[in-house]
Amino acid sequence: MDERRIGSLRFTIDFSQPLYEQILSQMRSLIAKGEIDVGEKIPSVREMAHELKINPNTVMHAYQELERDGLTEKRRGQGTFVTNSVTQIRHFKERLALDYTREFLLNMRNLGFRPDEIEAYLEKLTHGKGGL
Amino acid sequence: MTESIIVSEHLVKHYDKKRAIDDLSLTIKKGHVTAILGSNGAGKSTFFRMITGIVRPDSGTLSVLGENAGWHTNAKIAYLPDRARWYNNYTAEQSFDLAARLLLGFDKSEAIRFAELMRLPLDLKVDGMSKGQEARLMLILCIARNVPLVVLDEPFSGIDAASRERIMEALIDAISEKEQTLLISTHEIHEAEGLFDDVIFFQNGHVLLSGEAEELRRKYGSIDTLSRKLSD
Amino acid sequence: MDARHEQPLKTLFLHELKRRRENGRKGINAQWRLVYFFSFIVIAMILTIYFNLIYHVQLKYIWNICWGIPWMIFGLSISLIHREWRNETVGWWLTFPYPRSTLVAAKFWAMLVRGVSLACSILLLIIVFGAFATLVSSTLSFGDFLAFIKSGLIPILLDLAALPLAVGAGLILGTLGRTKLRPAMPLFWIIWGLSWGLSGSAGWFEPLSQFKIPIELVAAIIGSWLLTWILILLASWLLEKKLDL
Repeated sequence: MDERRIGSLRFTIDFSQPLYEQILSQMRSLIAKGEIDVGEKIPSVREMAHELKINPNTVMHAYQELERDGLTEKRRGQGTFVTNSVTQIRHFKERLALDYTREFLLNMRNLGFRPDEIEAYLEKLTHGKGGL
Repeated sequence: MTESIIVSEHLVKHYDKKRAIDDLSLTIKKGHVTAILGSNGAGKSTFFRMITGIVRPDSGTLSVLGENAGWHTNAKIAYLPDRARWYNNYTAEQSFDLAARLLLGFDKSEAIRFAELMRLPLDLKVDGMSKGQEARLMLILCIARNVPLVVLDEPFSGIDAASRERIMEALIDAISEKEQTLLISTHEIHEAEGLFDDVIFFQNGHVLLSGEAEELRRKYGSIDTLSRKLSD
Repeated sequence: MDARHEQPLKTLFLHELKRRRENGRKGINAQWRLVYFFSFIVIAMILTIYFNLIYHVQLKYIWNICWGIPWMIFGLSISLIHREWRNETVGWWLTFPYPRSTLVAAKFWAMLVRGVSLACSILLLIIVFGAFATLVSSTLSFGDFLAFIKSGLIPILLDLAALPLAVGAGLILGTLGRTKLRPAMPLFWIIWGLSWGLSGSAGWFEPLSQFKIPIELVAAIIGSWLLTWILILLASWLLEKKLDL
């Protein structure tokens, strides 16, 4: 696993996993967590490709997906920027949160847990000993 | 659906009794970066020489850019030969001038830009260059060309880490600026594998395994590890 | 095709000429030139004194040096092909996108220019030597010097006439060595040797001393140029179809 810094941003590239997903998910979380600010410029495709030593087309595809997410927008001749709209990012986070939760719930239900049991597990992990 | 730029069917090439290329069938997709990997003697260089028409197959067919490979198709191919050296009484800039007159689609101003990026002095004679500097010069002679196909046989072999890094950077720029098909063979897989769209493993002159790099990673882990497993 | 690619032969020819200097630059620097210059003076002095003492040995035999030039060019032409392999530039050379005949022709013309300039410098050197000998000698007159120059014209002209074939034969032999037809090389030597023997015994060279050029010799020279042309085409064909890489 290779850790690379681009400006203040940190990326980890693991060549044993598909690269496209890694770039996409790491960019998504950097934006969602606000490590790249609203309206801030994100690294250019060239910069990313050079620093991460990967095919620029891979980076470009990930960036296109970010744009479809509504997280970024291209400005002609200037590069790609995180959207100015805080609601846009919130919407994205909410959508992602719902997705993750739905997946979690589905998994738990498939194991036969009832809603109150699931809640107890959540409580245990967030507040109890050995929690997150 | 992606077009093919190279199609080989049942290629065979003997050297004395040894089969260097043994029933080789493959297609290279247009616009992709394809890595040809495999141990020494797997037939990679012989295959590249067939693409450039300087080695003729004993049997089978090979179509390059829709034609039979020969000197005339080389107008559209930038080829870095294996273990090549450049003419030793040329400076970098004189080499660019020669290339501009001889190699179709060569762009001198682009070459000079690459030389700056790769920190190669223009007035240095090849005689006085380190192996890494000479390798950078030869790579520029290939990537500063506006041709549909670039074929690089071991561009990283036997050169220092700094030169390898510069060559990677130049390749990345070349990929993003042009819609070229890039065919590359290397043993430096860990350093270069981020570039690959497709990977073809050669063994004893035929295809052992091939696929999209991302798909292979999903299935087997990194291309570097996979290559190690396959050569065991 | 781009306008600047219309003269590949010229470009390749200049490329071959430029590379010619690569050996010279490494091998002979200013100091060595000085050494050669002084050796020339010393040898010239010794020879002059020798000719003065033993008068019956004639000065004009020095022109026999000329017979070596085509052989030297023949050898250099062989190595002109082998050099691409030895210097590991062959991958570049063979993938230049031009007809193989252009690649071979560029080498041919470059080597021919080299041969002509070599013959000319040897001519010049011998003339300087003759003048020098005439000056220091007590017995040689200016008339003798003119006669000496005159006796050298034929060998030099024959040299020049023989150069194309020497280059062509060198290139074909060099190429042959890199192809699947390598086993044909002894055959080449047999033909080559036989034709030299035949042309020598034909007696074409004897009347030359009287400045008569027999028509057979003219025909043979023209024939050799035609043969050269065929050899170049053959070398191109070998490069295209029979390479052993």
